[in-house]
Amino acid sequence: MDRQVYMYSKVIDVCRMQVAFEDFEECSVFYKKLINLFRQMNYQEFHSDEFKRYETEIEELLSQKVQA
Amino acid sequence: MAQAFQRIYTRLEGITKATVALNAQRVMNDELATVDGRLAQVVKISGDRVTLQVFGGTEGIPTNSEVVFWGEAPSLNVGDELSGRFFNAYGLPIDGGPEVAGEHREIGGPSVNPYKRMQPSQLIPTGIAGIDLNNTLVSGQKIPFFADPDQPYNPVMATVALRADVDKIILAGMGLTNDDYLFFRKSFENAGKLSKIISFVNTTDDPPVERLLIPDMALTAAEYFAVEKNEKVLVLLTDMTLYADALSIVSNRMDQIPSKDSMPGSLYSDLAKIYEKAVLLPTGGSITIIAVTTLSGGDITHAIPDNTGYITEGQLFLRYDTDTGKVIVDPFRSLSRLKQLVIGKQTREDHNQVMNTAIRLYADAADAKTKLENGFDLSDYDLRALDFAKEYSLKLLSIDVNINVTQMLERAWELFAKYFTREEVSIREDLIEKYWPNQA
Repeated sequence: MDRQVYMYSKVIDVCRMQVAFEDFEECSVFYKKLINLFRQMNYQEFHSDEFKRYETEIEELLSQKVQA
Repeated sequence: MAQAFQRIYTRLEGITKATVALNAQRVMNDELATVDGRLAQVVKISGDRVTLQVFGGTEGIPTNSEVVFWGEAPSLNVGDELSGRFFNAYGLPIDGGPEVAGEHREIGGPSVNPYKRMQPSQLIPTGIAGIDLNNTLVSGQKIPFFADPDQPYNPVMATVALRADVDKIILAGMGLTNDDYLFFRKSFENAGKLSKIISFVNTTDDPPVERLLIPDMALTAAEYFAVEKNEKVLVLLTDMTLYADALSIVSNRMDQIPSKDSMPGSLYSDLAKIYEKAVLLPTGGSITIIAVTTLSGGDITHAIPDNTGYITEGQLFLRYDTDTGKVIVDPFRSLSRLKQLVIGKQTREDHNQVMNTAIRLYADAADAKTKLENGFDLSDYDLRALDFAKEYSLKLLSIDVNINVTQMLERAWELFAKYFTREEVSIREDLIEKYWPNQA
């Protein structure tokens, strides 16, 4: 349950972010990458090193696109 | 037949199209009788009032006909000599061979106590990827094919039967056309596997009501081999819709109040009595049931598929794929509820992820197709998904594919690599590293 709440809040955070793209293809590639990272994170044990690694990768990816 | 216990009556008091009624004593449920020389079975007893269902119909039977009760319910002589033989609904040979002189057993007995059963755990490979990859069959499972009447469900059944790794295959053919009957017979003979196949056949030339005996005959033989010989037995029931139609004929002619779709109110119990014979025994023997339920215009809400779905452990849905011109096992509407008992345990570690990913990508293609049909622009991903779906359908979903599970997995990986990036496939990274094809 803790894990579900944790992951759900992460997804909600992503939904609330303001992002801008040049075109649909760029948007599609970005979100496919993001979805893959979330899936990879889901495959790992909760709070394990691998889990945290994917979490960091998600944050890095988002930081490149999120508008202030 | 049990001549010593015969009782004879000569006064019929009610005759309908399928039944006769008379007053008689010491009659038992399901007992066989002859009415004016025609085979009949007791279907109702109320005090001394006995109703008999006459299998060949009652036309021309006078009220003073001779009714002879046999003192026994329908039965089958079971023994190893059943192998390779063809029988009718009464368990009598129709292949010109001698009668089987085995142990005499009443058909339609109770199913195995659930407490005494083992959880199914052995994979039954069929070579068809739509089954082995996406809807893996397990010994002791009961599962039907849902198909429209014009689809090749009998050839698919024959293919499954001939490829399955089992000790005995028992065909219960209900309302088979002569072509179907000859097809099964030739397929089994040509494959050289006739010795492990036993067939009980009711063709369209036989009275429809007779087909009510076919599943019980087949399952009595199956129980003999599974329980006494500890063998893996596969029972093929085709077509259960015609069986249910025969139930409704009898029910309607007995003036019972019909339930949904003119089916008898007891339809669920009648079907469950058959399907619940599927079992994995602790001694190693098993009865696996694969049935066919033909649909009317693909309507799965009809009482027959609807009730069947509540009893069986999933269904395999055959569909004509207009994009490839192939009959496929539809991944969206098919399900084997027991597949998780063997996937990744008796198959390769990546089976579960590959199966789910392929179906997700196939679903993306279905979305893209909807976009296309509604005049929306397609993205590069949509176009790749559509191409993937076509090749996935041809190389994996089509029923004419015949490869083992590992080859199916390899083929799926090849398609993933051909049409998608690793990120789009989204399979666990360690599996990607291990199985992603090296492209030159």
